[in-house]
Amino acid sequence: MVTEARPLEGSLDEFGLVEILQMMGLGNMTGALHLRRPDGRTGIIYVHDGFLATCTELNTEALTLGHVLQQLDMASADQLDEAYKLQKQNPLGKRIGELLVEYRIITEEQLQDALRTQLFWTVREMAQWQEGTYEFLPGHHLAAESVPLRIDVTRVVMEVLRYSQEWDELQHFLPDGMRTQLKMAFEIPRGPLLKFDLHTWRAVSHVNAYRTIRRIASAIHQPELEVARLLAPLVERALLIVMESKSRPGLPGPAQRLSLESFDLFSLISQMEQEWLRRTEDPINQLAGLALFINWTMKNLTETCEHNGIHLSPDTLATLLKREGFFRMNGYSLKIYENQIDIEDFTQHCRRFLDRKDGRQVTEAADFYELASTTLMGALRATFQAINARIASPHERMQNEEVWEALFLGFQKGERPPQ
Amino acid sequence: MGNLVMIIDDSLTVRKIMEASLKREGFQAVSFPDGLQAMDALARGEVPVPDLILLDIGLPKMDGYEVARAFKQKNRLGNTVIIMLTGRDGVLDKLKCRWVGAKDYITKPFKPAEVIAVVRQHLRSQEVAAGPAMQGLSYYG
Repeated sequence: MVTEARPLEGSLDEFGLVEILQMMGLGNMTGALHLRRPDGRTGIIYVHDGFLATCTELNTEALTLGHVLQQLDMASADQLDEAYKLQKQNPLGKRIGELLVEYRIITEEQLQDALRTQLFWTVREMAQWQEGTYEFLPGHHLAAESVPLRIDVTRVVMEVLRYSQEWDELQHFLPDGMRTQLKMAFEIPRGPLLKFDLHTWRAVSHVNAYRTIRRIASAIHQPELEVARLLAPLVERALLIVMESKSRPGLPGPAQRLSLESFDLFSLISQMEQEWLRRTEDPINQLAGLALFINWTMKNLTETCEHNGIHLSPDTLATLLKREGFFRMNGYSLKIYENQIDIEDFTQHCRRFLDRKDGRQVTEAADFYELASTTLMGALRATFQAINARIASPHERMQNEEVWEALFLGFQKGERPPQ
Repeated sequence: MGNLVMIIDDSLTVRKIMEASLKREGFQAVSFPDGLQAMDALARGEVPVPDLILLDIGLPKMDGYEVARAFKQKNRLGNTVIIMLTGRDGVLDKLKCRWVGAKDYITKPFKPAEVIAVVRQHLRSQEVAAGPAMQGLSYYG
C-alpha cells in the first residue's frame, strides 16, 4: 500500500501563526506551512532550517512584488507593465524581479529588500487570521528556480506583534485590511470641519480610481500601512465608505495569467505511458518516443498559455534546453523549430549509431543509447519542472513530481538498449 | 470524509495519478500493485472496505478478471463498485468485464477528470440504489 507521512496540522484558534512560526524556528524545521481560512483565503509560508524562506498568498488581492516595488518607490507602474510584457513572451523564463534587475530598473539589493518586505508584510497580515486551519508539510517544497530568503523568525514575530497592536485600532474602519474597498461619500459628512494635510489629500484623491488601500498605496508610492493610517479616520468620519470586498481565491491578475494550474499534466503522462508501452521493442523507436513526449508537452503548454491569453515565445524550448544543458549530445544538436523537436532528423541521427550490425560497435551503440535517453529524459524532466514552478500549491507540485518520477522509473524499466 | 476508492494497478504512474487526482477531489484513496496484496490487506483489516475499486485488467499473478471474481464472491465486497482499467479496447474485453460483475470499463490512456466523473456517477447510482433498501430495512426492522 502507498502511504504518506502525516503532516503537522491543527486549528488556528488553538495555535496562532506566531506560536507556529516560533515552534518552527526553534525546531530548525524545513517545509511548507499551509494556512487556510474558512472564506477560502490560503497562504503558504516556506521555512528552511528554521528560517523563513518565502511566502505567498493565493488571493486575487494579495500583496505582489509589484505592489511592494511601487510602495517603496523603487519602480513605477509603467516599468512594471513593460517587465510584465516581457515575461508574458516567455512564461517559463525569468521572473519579474529578475527582469527588472536585468534591465537595470532596480538593483539586486533592491530586489532582495523588496522580497524581504513582501514576506514581512504578507506574514503580518496572515498572522491576523483568527479562524482556519494550518498544515505543515515537512521537506523541500520550494518551486524550482526559487531562491530562498533567510529571515530570522524572531524578526518576523516582532513585526507581527507591532502590526497586530496597530491593526487592533484600524480594523474597526478597514475590515478587510489592505484589501478593503473604499469609495467617496456622495455628500460631505456633517460635523466638525475636515482638514487634510498634503499626504492625506493625495491618498483621498486616488480612492475612487484605485479603491483598495493596497492599490491606492501602490499608485501614490507610499507604504500601505501609512496609507491605512491616513484613510481609516476618514472612514470613521464617513467621508469614505467601505464597500464589499472583491478579493477571492486565486492569484493576483498578472500571476494568474502566468500560472499553469490548468496544465493537465496527469492526462499527458497517462498518454506518454501508454505510448511508451507500444515502443518497448525498438531502441530507436524509444528514443524518438522520448523526443515526441517533449513535443507533446510543449504543444499542451502552448495551448494552456493561449487559454490564459499568452502567446508562448517560439524559442521557449530551445532556451530552456540550452540553459539546462540538454541541447546537445554526441556532437549532435537537437533541431528545434517553434518549440517542436524535429523527430525525423533526430531519428536519422539515432540510426547512424544504432542500426549497425557490426558486433564491434555494439558497445558504442549502447553508450549512445544511454547518453541519448539520459539527455532526453533530463530534457523532459526540466520541462516538467519549469511548468511545475508555475503552480502555486506545494501539495500539487509534490504530487506532480511523484507522478513524473514514477513515469521515468517505468521508462528505465522498459528501456531496451541495443544488444 | 469522502468515499474510499481503491486503485489496483501494476503501473506506479497510474497509481500515483489516480491517488493524487482522487484526493484533490475530496475522495480517500489507497492503492496496490496487484490483487493479492489488496485482498491480503482487506483480510487483515489494514484498509476498510472500499466504496469503489479501479481495477487494472493486465495485472501480474492474478489478472483483473480473476481479482474481480474473487472480490465479488466475498460478501463484504458485494456492494463495492468495480470499474476496470485496460490498455485494450475490444468488445470481448468489455463483455468479460460485465461477466465478472464490473460496472464499467475505462480505456488507457485516460484523462483523470473523466475517470473521476465516472467514479462519481457510479457512486451516486450506488447511493440511489442503496437508499430505498436501507429505508425498507429501517421500516421493517
